[in-house]
Amino acid sequence: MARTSDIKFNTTSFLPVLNAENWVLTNATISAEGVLTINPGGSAVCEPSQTIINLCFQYCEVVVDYQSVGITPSNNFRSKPKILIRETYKNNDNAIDQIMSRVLGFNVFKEVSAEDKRYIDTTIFKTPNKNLAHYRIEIRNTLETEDIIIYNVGAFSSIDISADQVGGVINDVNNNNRPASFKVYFNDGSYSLLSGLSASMANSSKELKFKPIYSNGLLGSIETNFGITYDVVNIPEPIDLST
Amino acid sequence: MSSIAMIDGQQLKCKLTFDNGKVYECSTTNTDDNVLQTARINESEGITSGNPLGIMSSNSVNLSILDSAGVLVLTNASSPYAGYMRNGVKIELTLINKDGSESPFGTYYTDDWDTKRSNGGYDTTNLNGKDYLDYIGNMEIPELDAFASVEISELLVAIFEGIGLKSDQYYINPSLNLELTFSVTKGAKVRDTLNAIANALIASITISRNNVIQVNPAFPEQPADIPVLESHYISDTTIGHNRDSQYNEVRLDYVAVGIQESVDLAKLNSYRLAPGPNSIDSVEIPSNTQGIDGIFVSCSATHLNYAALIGDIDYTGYQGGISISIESLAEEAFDADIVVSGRTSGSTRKSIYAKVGGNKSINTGLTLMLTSEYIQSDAIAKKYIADVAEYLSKIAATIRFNCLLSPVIETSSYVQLENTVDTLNGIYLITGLSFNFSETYSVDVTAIKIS
Repeated sequence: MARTSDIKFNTTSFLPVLNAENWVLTNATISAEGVLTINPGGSAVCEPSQTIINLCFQYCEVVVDYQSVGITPSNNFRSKPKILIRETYKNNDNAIDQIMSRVLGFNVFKEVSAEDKRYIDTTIFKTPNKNLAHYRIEIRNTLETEDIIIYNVGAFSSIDISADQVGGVINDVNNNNRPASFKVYFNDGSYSLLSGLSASMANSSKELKFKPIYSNGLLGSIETNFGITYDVVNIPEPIDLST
Repeated sequence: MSSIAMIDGQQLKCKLTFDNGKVYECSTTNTDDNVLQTARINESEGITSGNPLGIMSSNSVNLSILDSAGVLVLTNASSPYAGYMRNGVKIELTLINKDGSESPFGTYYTDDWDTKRSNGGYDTTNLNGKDYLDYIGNMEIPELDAFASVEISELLVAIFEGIGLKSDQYYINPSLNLELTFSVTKGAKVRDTLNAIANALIASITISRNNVIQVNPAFPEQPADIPVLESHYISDTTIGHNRDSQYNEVRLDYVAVGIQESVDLAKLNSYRLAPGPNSIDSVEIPSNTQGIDGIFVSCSATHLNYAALIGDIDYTGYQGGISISIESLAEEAFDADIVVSGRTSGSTRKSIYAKVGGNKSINTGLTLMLTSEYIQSDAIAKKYIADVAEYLSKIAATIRFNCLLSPVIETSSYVQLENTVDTLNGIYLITGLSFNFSETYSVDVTAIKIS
């Protein structure tokens, strides 16, 4: 798994906003301001369809801004309350070929207000990196007596190019089936310091981007837009510039 | 300014409770049988009982009982206590005040028992006992929930409740606080862990006379009115070094902790899920786990049809392990891959030194070596070692004396000595009391000078 701090995520969630049209509520309410309150034993279920069509990404980030007096430090170690996710993936022939079931707890690593028992829990996990066919998320309050208030819940796909797409670009370039274009980026228009390179297929908006990261004037690593950062010492093969 | 109380006709009575439910009572007021001839009760704090930091220490008692009927003789098969006179008999001491009122004077458990026979009859039965702290100190550490970002007091509560104590059986002073990046339990015995916690907090763990475990700062808050003890009441005074605190330097080995990014904590490949609920217990995860992100379940392509039939999933983590439950809605067993994802702590072992009381003498034998798993950041380590150095310089000298102080006095009390020679006047913290109830009464007092 890549370092999570190196992964870039889209800023728009593929989950719809909290409202009663998008979420099926049981023993729960959503206010006009979009705040979800789930009573003990209640749940909120969402099965987005439009936003996940052909969505393919390597990593997913689930962020929940929540509050409950029933939360303690032991929540870092238990699924009570919990989020149940089922991801159904399809292959290139549109046939279902993998299903993932996940349960996430409500961790307390990041406090919004410890006094008010409000926290933001962020969980990042790797996906099978295939096209989504179906997605179901359920927030279930399994606390005995306390409500849980959800101010926001989002699922964010990583900004990357899938392995298939990377392979496609490389194949196209290697086979000369279609011309590829390359770009060279410079800093601030001064054209004196290289700030990045990219490769893309013609007639495609997808670019494989490589960004050098300098430290004290030395090249430290190369970041990409497909979820991988190469440390300089870990670049697999030196490039032969003589040919 | 008040004067400290002296003995005022208080007597002592003792109740032994055996495992068969029967009791035996004796007292210092009896004159014929069941006479509590002598009672020596030693109450102490860690400050002067073998460790320079105020660690958990237990009190002890030695009783001599005139038992003419011989019911406390171990070989007396007709005794109502026959077969039950063994280690662990409960001893409850009660102070009888002059006005007849009573107050608890400690609960102990026997750890030695002997009776002497001479001149054709039985003399006294001698019982030795240790307090409840000694008993729980030998217990195994209970299985604890794992906690991250937790106050050390919450860990103490988890330990106490894990060994079966109720909330009215312990008291943790709210002024004691230390946030742990992650909780650990050091050692296999409760004593080891409590000692390590007391060290980290510079606290004392003792037990009160009404049998409530007390966790308090080594230096309790001074009351506004500290009672005065006039010099002519004390005798056999000895002033000397506290041999347990003569250090020039303190060294602390600690662990600087940081939270790492998510990793796979455990993987179960091709785990066979039966129809219905599946409990997967004791899956090993790293002991430095900070939190569980989630459980991820997937199925191989051959079992794809079953993957949609995975129902509810739950997990509960504890130190070094996790229990998982997965509900299968399928009618047949199938294989699934299960991943536990979470965050661990990264740690770096570090050392820090501090001089005690500006001591510049060079003596390599006088460095106090401390190791704490509970000091988990550089800032806390820096403050802690400065506090320890200051603490050691304060307790460098002890005073021991004998007097007729009232038995109501307890350790952790402050007393002000006055009208003594100039060097002795000042405020003292009482750290040890040895009461001697017999034909005569006396108290040996150990104290450290605070100011």
